[in-house]
Amino acid sequence: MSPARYLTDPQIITEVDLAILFSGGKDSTLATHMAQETDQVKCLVTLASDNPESYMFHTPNIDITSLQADSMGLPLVRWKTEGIKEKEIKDMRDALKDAMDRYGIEGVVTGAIESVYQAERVQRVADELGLWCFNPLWKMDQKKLMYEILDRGYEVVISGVFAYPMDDSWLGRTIDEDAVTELIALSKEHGISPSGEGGEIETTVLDGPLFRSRIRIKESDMEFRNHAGKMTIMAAELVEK
Amino acid sequence: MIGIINMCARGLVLSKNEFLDPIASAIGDSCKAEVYHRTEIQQAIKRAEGIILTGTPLKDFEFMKDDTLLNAISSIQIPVLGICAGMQVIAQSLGAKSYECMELGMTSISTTAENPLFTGDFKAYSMHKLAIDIPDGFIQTAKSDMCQQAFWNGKKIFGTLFHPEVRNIEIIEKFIEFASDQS
Repeated sequence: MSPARYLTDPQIITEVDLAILFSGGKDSTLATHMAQETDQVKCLVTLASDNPESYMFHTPNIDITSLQADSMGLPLVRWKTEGIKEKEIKDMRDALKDAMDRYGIEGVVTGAIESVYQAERVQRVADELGLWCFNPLWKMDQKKLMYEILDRGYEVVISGVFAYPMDDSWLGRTIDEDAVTELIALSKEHGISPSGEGGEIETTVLDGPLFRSRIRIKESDMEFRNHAGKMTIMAAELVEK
Repeated sequence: MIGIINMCARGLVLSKNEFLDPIASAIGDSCKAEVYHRTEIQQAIKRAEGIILTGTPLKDFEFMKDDTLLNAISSIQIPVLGICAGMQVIAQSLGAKSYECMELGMTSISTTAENPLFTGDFKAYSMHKLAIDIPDGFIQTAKSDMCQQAFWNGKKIFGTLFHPEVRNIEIIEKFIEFASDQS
């Protein structure tokens, strides 16, 4: 069989209209920023999963993405998923198809760094839909990634910790230089990924260069037990910067 | 110096982060590396002791229409490691046929012939829609359940359909050593 259809497809590739698979954490926010620098970000796509064990989409404060999208001036395509393995992939496909229909996207961007599980599934869905798929953080050095977040001026808080020997003092803590230094030390001593790529930490972005307004947390609830816990944001608002 | 040849279409700036930077990281400080776009491959060949051809996104086949690249590869004399699209373009430049074959994700790979870069059975990350026949003068050095996964011409030209920069960077390190020994 000849790949003739690939050879004859005229493709003049310039800027690509993109959706970002957006969780509200540091990685998908940095991916959004990098995509804004090179292409056209048309919308954010969020999958709100009911399953706390989901490998693909679960994050403790997914509802904050609506405020983040407002602050960045980007439309949000928000879909619910039960988080059932493989069915959640169909949910992602439906969400991206919706983004194609509403915003004419030609590609999707993820914040994947190391997870071949996530990368493979997004690549497959993108291919089925005829979308480009970009992973600008792919294999990025995780210490470098943390400093990139700081250097770009993002305000990020830790909204979940799920690894020994992290204690409840990490919950709600802003990621600054001291925090990054401590995370790197923990990675050396205990094998924790310094960026939380292994699920050791979850983050929520409150402010940054893409944000027109800052997010202020008005009320939050902390739960912590056996080196695992989360900060659930109960109420938040946009405030002037 | 190793030349890393960015095989992605020029407009796909975000792809550089995904397909080129991980190779540069794998090379690290072990030797000097310089980056070239595929349209500048002649400059790289003049300067480098070996070149690595990167992969491309699943939708990017622009490289197959790049005559400058195809001509340069067909007569290259320095060590080459073609990764995914890089392997496909080596095969195409030598008249071998491509065929549709999609593999995505971690793939079981079996070594089928002794070669300087890898041995035995291992898992590697695959992301391709095309596979290729083995060009004349080359041997298959690895396969998966679905297709030929690597080749070598017994001299200086290697190809892997899988992406060693994702989970098998020792293969890139061995290629760097090989290229250094040849210079």
